[in-house]
Amino acid sequence: MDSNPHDILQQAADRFGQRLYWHIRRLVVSHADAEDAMQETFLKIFTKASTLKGGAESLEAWCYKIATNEALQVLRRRTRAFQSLDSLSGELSALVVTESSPDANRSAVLFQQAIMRLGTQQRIAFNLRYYDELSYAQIAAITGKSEGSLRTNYHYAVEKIKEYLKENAI
Amino acid sequence: MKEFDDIHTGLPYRESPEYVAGLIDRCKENALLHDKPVRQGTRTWMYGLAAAAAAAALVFGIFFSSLRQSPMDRFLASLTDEEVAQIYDWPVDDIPEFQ
Repeated sequence: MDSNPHDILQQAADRFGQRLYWHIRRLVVSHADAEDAMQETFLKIFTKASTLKGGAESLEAWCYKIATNEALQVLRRRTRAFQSLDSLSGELSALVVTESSPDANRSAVLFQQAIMRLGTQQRIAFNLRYYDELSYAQIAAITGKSEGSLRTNYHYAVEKIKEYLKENAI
Repeated sequence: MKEFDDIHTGLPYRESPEYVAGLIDRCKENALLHDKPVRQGTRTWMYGLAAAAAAAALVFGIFFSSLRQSPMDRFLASLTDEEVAQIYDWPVDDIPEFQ
């Protein structure tokens, strides 16, 4: 892996830029927050490039890891003292509606709201698996969790989403 | 894999790929503002300037010190022509002028 920060930043922007933005956006919901987290993500990619080891696959995991951490950092700023990230689910669910396009598909809005009802770790595992179509091994490299626990997270996430959608008549 | 293919799972947000591409460019440009090589370059430029200033000061110092009177010159300048003539055993009319 070329550790030239300029090359790494360029690769990250060209190959993963859009995916990183939407990964962050799905976690923080608000576009303004996603923009802040994206800015910090790119800054970290550039300034910490010398710490990156491994091939192209690890660049992807590394970029996702930074993006995930920055998104969580933005969410932490929304919490009050001693409040967990999971307690933001109601607030984020409401934010989905205000951030949605006026002509957005109702089921798409409801689907995002269902995802916001998940715990933070479940939500990260679900998004990375469902939307980014990453393998459990890749998600494990990003989150630092075992593949087994990620499979469990994903399974329960799917069940909870199905339940929410059933309750809300889809 | 796609457990929810039967429903609309797209994102309800309005930002287009073009808009996000612009955002990515801005983020990249902002990150580049923290470019270490530029800062090092700036430092090198400042060190170069400081070295040039020191060299110039040294050259001017040598030049001006060469213009300054030596202690002997200052001593002789304080004497009358007669006193100098006595020291060097010169005729009074041949005494050089000391600045």
